[in-house]
Amino acid sequence: MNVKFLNDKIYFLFFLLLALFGVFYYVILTNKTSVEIYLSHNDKINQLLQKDETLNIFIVDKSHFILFDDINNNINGFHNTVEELIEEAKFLDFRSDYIQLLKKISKTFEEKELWVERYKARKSFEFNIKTFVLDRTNTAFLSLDEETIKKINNMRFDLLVNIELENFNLVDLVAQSDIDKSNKYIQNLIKQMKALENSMQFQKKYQKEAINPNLKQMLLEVKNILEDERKNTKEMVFFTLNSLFILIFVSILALIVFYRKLTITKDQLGAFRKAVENSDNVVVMTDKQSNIIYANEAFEKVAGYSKDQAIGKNPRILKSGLQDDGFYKELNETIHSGRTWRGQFINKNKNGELFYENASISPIYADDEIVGYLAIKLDVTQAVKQANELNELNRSLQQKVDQAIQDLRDKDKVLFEQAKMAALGEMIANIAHQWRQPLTVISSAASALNLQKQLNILDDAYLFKTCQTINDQTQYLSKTIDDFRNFIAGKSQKDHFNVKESIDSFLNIVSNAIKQNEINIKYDIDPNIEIYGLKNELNQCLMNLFNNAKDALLDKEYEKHIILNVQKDEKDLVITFLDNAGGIPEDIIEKIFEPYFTTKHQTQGTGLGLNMTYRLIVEAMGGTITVKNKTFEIQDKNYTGAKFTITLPLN
Amino acid sequence: MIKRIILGLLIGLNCLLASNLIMPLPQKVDFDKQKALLGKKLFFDPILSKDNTISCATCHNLQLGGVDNLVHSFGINAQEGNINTPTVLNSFFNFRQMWNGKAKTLHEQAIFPIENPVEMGNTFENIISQLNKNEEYKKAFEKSYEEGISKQNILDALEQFQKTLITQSPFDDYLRGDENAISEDQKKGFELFKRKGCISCHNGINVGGASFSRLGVVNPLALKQTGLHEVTNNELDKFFFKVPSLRNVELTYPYFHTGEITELKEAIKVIAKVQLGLELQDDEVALIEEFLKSLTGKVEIIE
Repeated sequence: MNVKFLNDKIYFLFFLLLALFGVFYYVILTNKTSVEIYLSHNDKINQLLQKDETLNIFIVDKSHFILFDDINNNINGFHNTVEELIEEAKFLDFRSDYIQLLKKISKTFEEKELWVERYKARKSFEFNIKTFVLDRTNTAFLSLDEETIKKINNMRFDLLVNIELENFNLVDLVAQSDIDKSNKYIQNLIKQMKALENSMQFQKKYQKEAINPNLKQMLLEVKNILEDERKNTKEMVFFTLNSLFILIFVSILALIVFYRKLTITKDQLGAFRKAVENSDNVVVMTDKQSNIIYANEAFEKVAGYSKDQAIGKNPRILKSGLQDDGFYKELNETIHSGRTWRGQFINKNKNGELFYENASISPIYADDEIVGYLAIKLDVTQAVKQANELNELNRSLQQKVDQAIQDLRDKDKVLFEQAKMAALGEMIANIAHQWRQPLTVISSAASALNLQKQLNILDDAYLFKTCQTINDQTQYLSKTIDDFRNFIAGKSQKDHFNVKESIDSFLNIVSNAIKQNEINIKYDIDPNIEIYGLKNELNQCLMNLFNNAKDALLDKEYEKHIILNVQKDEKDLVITFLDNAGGIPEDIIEKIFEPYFTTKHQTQGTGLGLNMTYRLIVEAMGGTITVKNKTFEIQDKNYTGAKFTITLPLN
Repeated sequence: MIKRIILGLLIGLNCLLASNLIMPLPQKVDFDKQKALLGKKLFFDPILSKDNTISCATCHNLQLGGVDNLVHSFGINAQEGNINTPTVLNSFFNFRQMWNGKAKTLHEQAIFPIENPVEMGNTFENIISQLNKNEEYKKAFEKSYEEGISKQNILDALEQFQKTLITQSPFDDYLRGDENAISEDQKKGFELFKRKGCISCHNGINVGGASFSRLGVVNPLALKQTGLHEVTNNELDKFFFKVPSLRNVELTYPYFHTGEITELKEAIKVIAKVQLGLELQDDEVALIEEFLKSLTGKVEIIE
């Protein structure tokens, strides 16, 4: 998690908290209004309801005299209270439907007020009449005769009761009585009753209109609005408080988590910085314009500039000038294209000393944009110097080794030649043997021819026969020379050849030695085997094996045998060469193919025969040669001998 | 049932007769003296009339019971009004102002005479510009009111002054417990006043001025004006006039909204006949008159 992301998060959190407190403050503020309105308005509306009720009671009441001042106070109080409510609600910017309803109430109440005035006037009038009915001090009444007074007194209560019971037959009550209606008092009474009846009828008729239940309904409605608002407020405050609580809780949790992460990041950054600071690697950070904004201690050591001197400068202060412009161009192109450049600088430190640095320069990204570059470099001056010295050393060593190898090769060549010459010597000895008899034959024939000529007994038949003999012997000699030449100066060139023919010529060369040493050669060979290989080299190898066997058999008292077997399997030619010379001692059998190893006296062998054989078979012809001791039976006799097995590829 | 009704009725009537249905004036009225003094200045200043000839005091002479004792007052250019001038004294305690109750408060009331073409015939626009030319008024208004001279402030100042126009009378002292404040005849008159039913309309703090009443409810009168009907335009309200206060009634002749009766005794007789259907004897009228005289008080004008 990177620091920038964390920063964004914490700002968001702070913003959220701030906004929440704003909302909370707003809710408290608006709801404070609602609560205030509720507290004062609910009370006032109750007062209004009470005042309305008082007026209603006044309207329906008949017998109680209510002081007009009280009624007027009620009316004025109602007006004032409604005005107050409207003003307050307007001031606090409360619900407009509430204000509208209050205004409607105010207007409705004005109508009611008028009705109350009408009732007031009529009620005061009723009281007048009641006073009149009850008044016994009335002079007109007192001037009546005693009997009429008595009758009137009796009628008084009937009238009053009827008034209370709202019986509108007051006039009839008086008119139908047996009192003399001609007197002034009774006429007045009837007139009063008529007026009273009108008044009472009026009151009854307009009672509902005067009370106007709508007013009460509207007041209750207003009360409901307040109640609703209070309920909403309560819910709103609860909801806000709950959400605030939850969010604060979450925020605190988030803060704790954030703080923990920050601490960890800080620790990591600290450790990282320490690591960078103490690294042996030179770490240099630059801004986008390649001006140094950070360099570690290794930089100070290597470049010789202090941090303060380096910061703000371009790293080209280290340029030694030994690297061409193309080098720096390639560097800049690489890093500007957003890739990492790797390479070696040859730089110059503050003291002008050259030093080598292996550097890796990478762009630093922030939001997909390069904001700077980071170079991590290692001073390799020491290593470069050592490498140069080592290269020098290597070169001389190589020369020495090459020389030694050359010497060895030269020596090898000499030895190889020696071995070849030794083989040649053998060959010549063999040739000499082979030539001795034909030469003797030629010489005898020539002598015989000469003698017969001198004796003149030379007949043509003998001449032709002898010439034929000489010619045959010469042919033989020539053939021997060919074999010899082929053997020595054989072209080292692969060729198709018949194996049997090749081995026959080999046996022919060594036939004399076989005869002299009384060796029984037994060989079994398929006459049709042809291979593609080095014919002479193969003969040379067989010669070496034969010579070793011959030497080993030299002083043996028993019958000497050499068994040569040539077979062909699927892709290889397998030649086995077995003697009965008693085998090779087991302690040296492993070493016999090594150069300069010999069991013979210094004068007899060079120690290169089997090595040469090995190299010819394995290196020149791509075959294998192995040796092991073998015990076998010939003519009911057991012998032990060395068995060489040569395998050669057919192609 | 009937017994209960009668009992209730008797108790009610008893209350009517025995309890104090008339209250004394408060000894102290809440008012702003600075504003009231400004109101006083306006009250006596003809500047409020269009041609600067008539002030409030022209018709409401505070030394004459708050009236001018004329049947009809005269406005600017000697125009005659059509109704008897009611008194300004104690008018603050009236439930409504003017005979037909057109104005609910003194604040509202002052507009009518000022703008009535046959009275002061002025406009507030004109008054305000006139007052603005007067440094003294300008200062006085600015001292008392934040907004300085305005229609509302002029009306308020006048109301503040009229609040001070209350007249404590011997009867108020009597109501407060001074048995000797009024004469025996006056006491007898008060008894009659109650017994004959006058008190059912003339009650309360202002001895009237608390309700409307139909003039001629028992014995009809021929009337030109229709009272409340002029305001509401409702047939039900025809001939309903404000019951006037009886305070200082001794001084506020001629009587009724018509101003047609000059003698108080005559007025008592007429009103008893038309409203109560009573033909009062001379001695009864005299006693009631005596009682009414105990309602006369002296106005103390603030300085």
